Amino acid sequence: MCQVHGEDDIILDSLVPSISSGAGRKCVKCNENVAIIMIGTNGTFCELCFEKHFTHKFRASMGRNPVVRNGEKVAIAFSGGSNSAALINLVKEGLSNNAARKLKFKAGIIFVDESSIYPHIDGMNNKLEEVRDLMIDSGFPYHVIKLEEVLNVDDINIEITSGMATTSKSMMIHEIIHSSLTLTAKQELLYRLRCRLLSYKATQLGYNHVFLGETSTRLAVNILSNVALGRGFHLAQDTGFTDGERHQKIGCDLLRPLRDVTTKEVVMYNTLHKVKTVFFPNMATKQSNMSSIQNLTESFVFGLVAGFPSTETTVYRTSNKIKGVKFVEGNAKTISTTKFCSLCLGVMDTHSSNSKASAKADLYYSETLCKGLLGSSVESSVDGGKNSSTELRSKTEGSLCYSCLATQKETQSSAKDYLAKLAIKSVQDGDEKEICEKLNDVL
Amino acid sequence: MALTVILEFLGGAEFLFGHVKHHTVSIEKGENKLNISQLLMWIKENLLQERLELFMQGCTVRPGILVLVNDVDWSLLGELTYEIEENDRITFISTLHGG
Repeated sequence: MCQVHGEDDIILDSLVPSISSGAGRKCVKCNENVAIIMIGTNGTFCELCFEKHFTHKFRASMGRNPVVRNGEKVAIAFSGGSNSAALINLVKEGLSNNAARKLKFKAGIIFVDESSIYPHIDGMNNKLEEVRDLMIDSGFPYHVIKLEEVLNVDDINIEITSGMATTSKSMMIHEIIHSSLTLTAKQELLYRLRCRLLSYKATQLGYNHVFLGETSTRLAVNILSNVALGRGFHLAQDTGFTDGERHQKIGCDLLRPLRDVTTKEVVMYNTLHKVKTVFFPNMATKQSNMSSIQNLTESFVFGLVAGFPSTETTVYRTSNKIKGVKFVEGNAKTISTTKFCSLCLGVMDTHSSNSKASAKADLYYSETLCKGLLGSSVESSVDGGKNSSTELRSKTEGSLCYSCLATQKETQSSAKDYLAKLAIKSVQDGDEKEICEKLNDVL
Repeated sequence: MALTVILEFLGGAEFLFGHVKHHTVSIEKGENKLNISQLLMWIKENLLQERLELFMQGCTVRPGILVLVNDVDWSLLGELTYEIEENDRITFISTLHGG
């Protein structure tokens, strides 16, 4: 069995798919035309059949999850990348008169301009112009919103200590993101802020839903990295077709209509349809695999997919089976008494904050150990010895879920300040709600 | 004998090639035919400007970078063993988050 040159070699050889014989293979669907794409291990599709297959998958996921009603307005979140560009094209085709079953909603595009957090990258303005041209070409109404507008969602101002006379919102958001100590925390914070902004802005602009371009490949990465980040509790909302009631406090829901197609299929679709994309460098650009949990998970998943294409579907189908925490419908009390994380807006998973056996308690324990080793002088110099900040901090920590708390622990000054203000805001909102309810009861 | 090939780097992969997306190159190949495996070696030595590990892994492209030959998936053409013909258009598209 273990011989290097044994009989097993022959068996092994026959197990490895004979790739070279793939040249000029016929389409498995129509058995006539020459295939142009391999899906999974054996699915060879020709141009026509692939097109049908791809559009069908998009329409089927829309059909299975009838969230968007006739006549509603949907905002497509566009990043310039291939996924969202394909999504725009699919919606455009679905709305055109020659579509088989015409989609019955109105669409618009929202582009989040994140250039203020990448001031050192040249050519951003040219790229923004390119994106604008693409959005004009699409024929849909479009809106360009700046990432810093997320501060307006909760009307938050933070102090920054850069010595500049004027502190603009764009500088604030730059500080918030870049005061995080690790790339993991930066990427996580940016993702949460972006979702917040999209949901809020779309509602303000009169939309009922937001379409995200996340594909099954992206979701497979997100599922695994979210579990690694301690976000398992919110997995259904983070990776399902809809995020449910998660953003109801600030805006509309986020939907993922591309969750049944892979990124490879998207790229092929774009190539066939000559869909143009604009690549914006981001925090993961030119970073090594090991730079953050998200990047490491991504290379892990892609590495597996290269050898075993079905890994992707196996991972993401798992998320279909996971059910999130659901509110009892018609029971308003359940919603009002449920606590939400002030950053990611997910249902709180740290109820047992007093319990010594919770993951949260462990987080504190390891923090105390670290502080003990480093000496308390470090902590006091960072804090500037403010008593009020300690109080603020405990308030913040009470209103963050486990994962956001872990993220918060990897941030410094500005980001901590932002999170604290978010927390205060949510506590105030909670109080207001309680008062309103009591009033309602009395009346 | 030289072979003219059109190379495209998209989806962020162009960042490793001096921000240039389209390259028309002519490769000296001698008597034998040139396959993608050899092309990758040629790219590595002549075109790639930085960070080899972000474009290649071992002797193939990094997982997450799709390769299309004249808009056809390279896994249908024998991947690394595909023999390149005159004026073939080979596209490398990064599907990774950071390009």
